[in-house]
Amino acid sequence: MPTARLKIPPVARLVEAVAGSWRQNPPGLEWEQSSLDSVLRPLIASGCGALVWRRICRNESLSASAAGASLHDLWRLNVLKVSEQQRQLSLLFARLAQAKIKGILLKGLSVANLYPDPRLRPVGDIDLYVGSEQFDDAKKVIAELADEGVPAPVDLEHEASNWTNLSFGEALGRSGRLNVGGATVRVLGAEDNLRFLCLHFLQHGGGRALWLCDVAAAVENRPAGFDWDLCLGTRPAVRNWVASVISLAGNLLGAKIDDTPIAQQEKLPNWFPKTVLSQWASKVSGNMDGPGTPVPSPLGPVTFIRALRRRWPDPISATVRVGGRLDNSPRLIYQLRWAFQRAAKFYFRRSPDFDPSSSAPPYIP
Amino acid sequence: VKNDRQQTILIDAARPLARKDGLVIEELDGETLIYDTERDKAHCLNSAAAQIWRHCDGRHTLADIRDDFADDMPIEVAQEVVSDCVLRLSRARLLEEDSLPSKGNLVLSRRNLLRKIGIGAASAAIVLPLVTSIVAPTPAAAASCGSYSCHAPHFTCPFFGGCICNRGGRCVPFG
Repeated sequence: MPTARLKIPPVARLVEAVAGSWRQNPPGLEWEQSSLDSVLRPLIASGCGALVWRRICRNESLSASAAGASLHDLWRLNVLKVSEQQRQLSLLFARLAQAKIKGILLKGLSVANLYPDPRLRPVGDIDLYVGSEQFDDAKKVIAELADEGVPAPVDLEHEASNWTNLSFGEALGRSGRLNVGGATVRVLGAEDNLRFLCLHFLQHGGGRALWLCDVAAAVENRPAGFDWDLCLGTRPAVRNWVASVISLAGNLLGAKIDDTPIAQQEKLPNWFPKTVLSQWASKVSGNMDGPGTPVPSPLGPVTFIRALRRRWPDPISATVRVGGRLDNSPRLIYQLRWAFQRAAKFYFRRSPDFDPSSSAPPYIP
Repeated sequence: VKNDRQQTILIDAARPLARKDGLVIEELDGETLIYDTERDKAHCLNSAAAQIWRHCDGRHTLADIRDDFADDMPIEVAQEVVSDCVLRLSRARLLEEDSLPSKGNLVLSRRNLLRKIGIGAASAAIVLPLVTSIVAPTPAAAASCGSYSCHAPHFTCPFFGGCICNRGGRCVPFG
């Protein structure tokens, strides 16, 4: 088991707790209470609290402990929040259909469906992908719902092609339908969804264990006839990224990838799993503050270095955001390039001519 | 003491009414989970508390509810227990505000209540109504996400690594 080789105990615990937790019958965890205590905070930050609750709920001493009670509460909260979001989604998609707007649900409940119980996966906002020409209409529908007292927290995307690596028309043509709380919603096709999950994981520097569980669940629960070529795409960089994340899910979390083309993939670069683990080990996920982070003023040499350190991009997101490959070459060049691009963005953002509405999502070549 | 008695009389005559609007209710493993969407708070009722809450239909008085509940315990114990539970439901805003004319200082601490009715903590967890708030941190560990604005869609929010900036300029939990 790869976890045994890790020499960072709390993260190794986290990995052990999360490995296989997306499956129908994950084995119970037989830990000491202190082990669970030590990993509670990163576990909560990982988004996998309810998944791990399922592994400890039959262990009397663990489930009765304070840490166990926290995980139990996470499970209860998930149940309620998912129920609430199902209601919101059902209303939202009914309204969109009335207005003849076609939207695709990304992440959230569309991914939760890959788990034995969708309530095991926490939900945040509703990520809705619509065509550019219907973006304004969709915004109106959401605003109307809010006026009627249904404030669905929708993150509306119309340039998600940069995330999904395909146009809205292509995504729509290959989309599937999913019953969510009695409503039928459109979701990405299995191949597009897996690619999207991998790219999303990388763009956020692999910051949450939950996102790798999503990838593992999507790989293990892929439908018969899954088209790997379609999933990996034709662009070499994207193929490298998607294959690397799936390989990471196999190496780190024990996802079953032996029957996939990824099993033949060359070895992962050492820095990649190490970076992911260090992200998980930190209490928060991701270390990028983004160009919107306030910069101290005046910006002297010391404050400049401090500000730079705080904004220094992690090697994973820096690599994909500038279109590099995840390989054994040094990452510094990618980090410098991405830091420079962000600094330029920051400079223009401060310019009086800057139009915030033109802010584009991260670039994927 | 006089005040207590007056309050108790008032509550006895009251017809508490369970809230319906703005609540998401789910049954799970013998518990009733309630999410108050207006206040963004979640509560957990054990089966005894859920039974009392369901009896709060605006028609039954508190005395009626107590009588129903007294099948399994002496009437004076039931009085304490039901009053305590209804007041806790009211404090959790799970009752319509006007339906319980008197509230305030009558809620005993759990320990004092157990002492008063002479029951151990282990048995209490099973037979006594329990209304608890679910206070676990969200998986994003980012309870403060929603109150912050941001300017960089798709980037991690400043100072809150568990939150991401959405297109509306609000920090939301990763999902």
